Amino acid sequence: MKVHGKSYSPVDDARFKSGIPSVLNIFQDNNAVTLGLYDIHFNPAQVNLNGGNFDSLDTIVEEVAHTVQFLQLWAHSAEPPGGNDPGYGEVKNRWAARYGYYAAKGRWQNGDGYKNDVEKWAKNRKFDILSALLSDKKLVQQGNICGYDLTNYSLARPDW
Amino acid sequence: MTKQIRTKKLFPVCLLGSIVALAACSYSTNFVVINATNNPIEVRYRLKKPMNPNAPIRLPEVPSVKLISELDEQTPWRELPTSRFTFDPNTRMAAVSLMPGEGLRVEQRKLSGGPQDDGHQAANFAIEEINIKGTSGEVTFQGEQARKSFVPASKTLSILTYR
Repeated sequence: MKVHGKSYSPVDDARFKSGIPSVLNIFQDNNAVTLGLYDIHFNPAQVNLNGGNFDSLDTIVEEVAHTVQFLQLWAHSAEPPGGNDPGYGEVKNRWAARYGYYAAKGRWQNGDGYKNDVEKWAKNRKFDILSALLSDKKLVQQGNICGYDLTNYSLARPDW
Repeated sequence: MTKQIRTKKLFPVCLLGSIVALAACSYSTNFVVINATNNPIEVRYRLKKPMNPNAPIRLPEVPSVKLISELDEQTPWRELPTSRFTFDPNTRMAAVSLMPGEGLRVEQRKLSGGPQDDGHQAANFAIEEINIKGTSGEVTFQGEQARKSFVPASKTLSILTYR
């Protein structure tokens, strides 16, 4: 993806960091939290980056979908409007503020801040990617991809 | 005065809520069998038939354990050595010996993303039977009972305690 003249890959450039800051785990123990392209924090008790159950793969794909959203925001961020790249740190702040807005909107509309449009887009993107994988007969017969189990899974689009 | 104190007390809570709401995240629910006795127990669980009949029948992951005291911590689950569990693909039955004070994760699922009704939640659970044997006797849960025998302790943890 092109961002202010530079190319970024939401997959290759994404950085997963082991451990989630405790302040982000107050209301629930998250699998992963995406604060920015280089700041995807994951819980090593729940997510295995080297293979394992389908749930780990599901989480990784969903967080990478969030990095696509982050890069889209970065691409449309300029300081002042129409001007220069505001920089990664500033876009992280805007990402947080934007998420806060959608979380509030989700709470207002659906009674749950988690049921917001940012999560909905990422979960739909994840669904599309994983459905395509699971429609590959060879992969399903093989039962795994890159060490991740494909025999025992559930996949659904968000219900909001 | 009372209003001022209430506002002062509420402000940190609101601030905290805002911080937590500013992060794109995902979470799963662990289904954990806990051995609350002083002796080892045997946990046997049978997987449902695979969704795709062409898929191989095997355990989706090596059974793993944590101490009960570690359940709320971000410490990785410890995969069990093959000496502590068996899996028969013909019966789809796993058997695990569980030590006192240990929790065994038998299932990890994202329950939050999709539909929340009972039918979808039931489909989103891969175990059709659980049997636990120990000094307190033997219990078996089959079909929907197997899923409902786990009591939600939080959004991310459901437990079945053997006492």
